[in-house]
Amino acid sequence: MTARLELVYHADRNNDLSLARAACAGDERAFERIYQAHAGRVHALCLRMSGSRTRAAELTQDVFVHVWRNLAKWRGESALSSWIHRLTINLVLSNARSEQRRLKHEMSDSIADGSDTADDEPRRASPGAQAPADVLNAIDLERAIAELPPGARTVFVLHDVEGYRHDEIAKLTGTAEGTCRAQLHRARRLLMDALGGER
Amino acid sequence: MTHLTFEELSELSEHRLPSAEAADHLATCPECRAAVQRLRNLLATAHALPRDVAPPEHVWTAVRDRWRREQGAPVRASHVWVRPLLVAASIVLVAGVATIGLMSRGQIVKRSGDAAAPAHLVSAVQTLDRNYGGTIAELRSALESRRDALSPHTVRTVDRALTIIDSAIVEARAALAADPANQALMDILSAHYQREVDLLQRATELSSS
Repeated sequence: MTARLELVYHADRNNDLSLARAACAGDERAFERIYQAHAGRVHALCLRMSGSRTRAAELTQDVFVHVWRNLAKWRGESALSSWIHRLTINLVLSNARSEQRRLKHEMSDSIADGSDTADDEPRRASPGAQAPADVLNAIDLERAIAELPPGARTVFVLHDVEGYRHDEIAKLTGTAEGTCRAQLHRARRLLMDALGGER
Repeated sequence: MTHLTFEELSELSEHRLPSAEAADHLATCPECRAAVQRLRNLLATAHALPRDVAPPEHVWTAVRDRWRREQGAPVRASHVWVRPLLVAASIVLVAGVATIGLMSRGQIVKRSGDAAAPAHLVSAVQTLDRNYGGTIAELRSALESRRDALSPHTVRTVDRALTIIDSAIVEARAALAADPANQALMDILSAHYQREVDLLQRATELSSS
């Protein structure tokens, strides 16, 4: 790390520590600054991992509630952004697990009078609207990621978007590394299909 | 000619060689090389996706209101709640309660080891009771007076969700009574209270619309 980069790094860390201390002491403006600095990153992650705008908004709320409740535990050993990032992933995965359990047991009448699902409906690729194989558009990719099955989506987002290694993902998700690899290949295959790639 | 499997192509797209045979095949097969290139394009696009996606405005409003409530500060009545459907909201709330309930059970087993409650925790529990108790009573009363405006199915859904949340609160309080120094249990109790307030607010808004 160059001296200049090191200075910037320490300045950021000190700034984050001051903001965190102020927020812990009840300073709403300090907490708002933390929110403004990290909300976009948190929301992007929630959006991609949940595949739903409504769920992503709920999860983003929950993440920041967890952030302020646990902020006193952050002592600056890691960057605040890394701490929030890890907290986000754990919370989204924990919610996904509980959602899976709920889906197994939920009685069907719970969804009878809901119409909010329009936002959460899996978005199917329209027939004949395939993009050329060599043009991978980011918007198309975001849409295709949202359509992936939850397990494959989680691994794809963590590995190919966020850059986590298989061993880290296995630890986070509580699955074997081999399962993660299989899910990743499956996700890539489904994405290639959705985006018009052959094979 | 037998082409490479998708798994082999996928490994190759990350510059990993699944086997010497795969490398030999790739050197002589333009079709497989093109497939690897398409996969690499996919990975490059995925890696270049925007790191930030701004959340809707109401997210901050909701977070801030929860912050103020827990800090004991006044919360303005004019919420900018975007109105997700009550049933979907209830499902999310109940799922959250289920998650927190499981965490709570974990915490009951994993005692803090310090039976004496620090003064600040006792005081925090009292503040929680004071802040949420009043708000919940008011919201329940408001909802009760507008109950007829809701469909029977919605009333059933709300009642069922409230019952679940109330039992979770009772469970968290019992756990706190057994382990009063446990900060995590305090957080769990607080989260249950907040979920009850969220649900009541949404139900009240729905009955007013």
